[in-house]
Amino acid sequence: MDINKLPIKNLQHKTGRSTALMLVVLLLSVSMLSGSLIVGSLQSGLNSLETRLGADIIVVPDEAKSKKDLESILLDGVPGYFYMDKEYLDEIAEREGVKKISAQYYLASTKAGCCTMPVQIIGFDPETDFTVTPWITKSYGKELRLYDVVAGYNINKAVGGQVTFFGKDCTIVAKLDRTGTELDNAVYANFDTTKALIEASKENSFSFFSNHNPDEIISSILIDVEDGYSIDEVVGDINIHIKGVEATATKSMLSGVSDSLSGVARIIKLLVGAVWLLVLIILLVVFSSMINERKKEFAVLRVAGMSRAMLAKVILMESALVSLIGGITGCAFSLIMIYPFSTMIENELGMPFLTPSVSRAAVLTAVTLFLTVLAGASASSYAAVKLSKVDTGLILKEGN
Amino acid sequence: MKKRPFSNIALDALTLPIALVLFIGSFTFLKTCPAMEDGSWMACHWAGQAISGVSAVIAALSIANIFVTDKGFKAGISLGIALNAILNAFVPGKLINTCMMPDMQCNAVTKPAVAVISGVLAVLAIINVLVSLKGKKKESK
Repeated sequence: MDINKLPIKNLQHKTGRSTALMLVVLLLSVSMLSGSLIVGSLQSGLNSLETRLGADIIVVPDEAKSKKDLESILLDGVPGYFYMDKEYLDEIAEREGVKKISAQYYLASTKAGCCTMPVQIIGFDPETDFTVTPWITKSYGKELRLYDVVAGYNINKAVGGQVTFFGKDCTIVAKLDRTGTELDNAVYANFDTTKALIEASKENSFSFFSNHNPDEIISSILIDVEDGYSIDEVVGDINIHIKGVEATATKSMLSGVSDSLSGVARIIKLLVGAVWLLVLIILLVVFSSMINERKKEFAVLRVAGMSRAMLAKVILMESALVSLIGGITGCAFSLIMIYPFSTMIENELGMPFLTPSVSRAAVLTAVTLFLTVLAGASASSYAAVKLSKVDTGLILKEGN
Repeated sequence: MKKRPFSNIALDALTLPIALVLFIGSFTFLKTCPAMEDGSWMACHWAGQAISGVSAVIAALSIANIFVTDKGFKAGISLGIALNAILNAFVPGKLINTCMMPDMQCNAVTKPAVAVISGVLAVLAIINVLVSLKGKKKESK
């Protein structure tokens, strides 16, 4: 019989034992790959939020209670709106350290019959915008026309589909890449469309804008700081010299999310570490007792002419095979549990969650598989070495 | 009575509880979004109804499979389970629309869960078809 087939035959012969061992190893790969994917997704989510916000500073009206309202729009996905005088835009543009400046409108559609769904509508000025346009250009090269909208990744409508806001049908001309944040649930439009929607909302008796003329208001101002200037200095300068608005550095706005993320990541890493330690101890004990139990079987193989090295090879191959099957099953389980359910995980965690790309997931899976097989083989190697030192004759004589 | 191989018994024993989870789940934790304030239903509700129907067929076939010993018959029932499971995976979102917002129950839970559970059922059923056909071939030799 081919010596390489012996480990497979052994595993097939003892299905229950092989399955139990495989389940223990499965725990290793599930904990490691799921942990890495969750931590990686949280990190990518935060990075993508920072990149998508794209500005160093965001200025909102005082009435937006500094950054709270903006945070709930951007981070919690609660559709909202607040407005300030457009004149602030020119005033802030003149401050020192301001390199690029652009205004945005926030408009919230409702669940009422006038609208297809309640979403955050973000209006931007294509002429000055430096935050949304680079992303839109990736998926839509043309200029946005009246009632053209660009949908966030999560809006469940295809390009060319229609969405109704305040009785006006808007066409989705492009969809943005996934960010894993609440910005995926927003709809982007140019100022003309946003103003037309504000007018339409007035016609539909929505009171949000009754006191405002859409040509004279904006919701927020996004600022890119000139090289050589500190973001905090520019924030301080705006807050001191311009009354009625509140400037916030985007990094500080995201610090709360960043802190929670580090906390979650630390707990996950600790849990994965604890599972690995526990499973490695279990594997060591299981392999030792299993080999002890099979002493007689191995002694017979020795008598049949198998060298100590060959015997060790069989034991190692058996454990590596079990670890490989357990590892593959565990990795498949982790991938199936994380990728399709990423929205549910994002909702439950309440944090940006962007699952890694296919290539990154493939690398993580390969590393997990390698480490799992290595751990299984290492755990059995101790037992294999111990067995090779035992006197075969003595075992057969003792009868155990 | 013909003796069934362990692999067939194991596959039947795995398939039945998963099929029952899918069927019972379609009325409980896999339920689609509730009715709107005005009492009307969103599109996902009809997807939910279809899932319940197809899942009931899968569960019935899985129960029948437990009692069947004829390998050819077993392969046929398992093929039925596999095809229904594939159909079920495509119901929410592909054959019948779900809601527009991704964080709603139908998109966040029902759609991925039905796809994953149905996918697992389809794989188990296909293995069962192959095992049964292999057994049938052995018998006829």
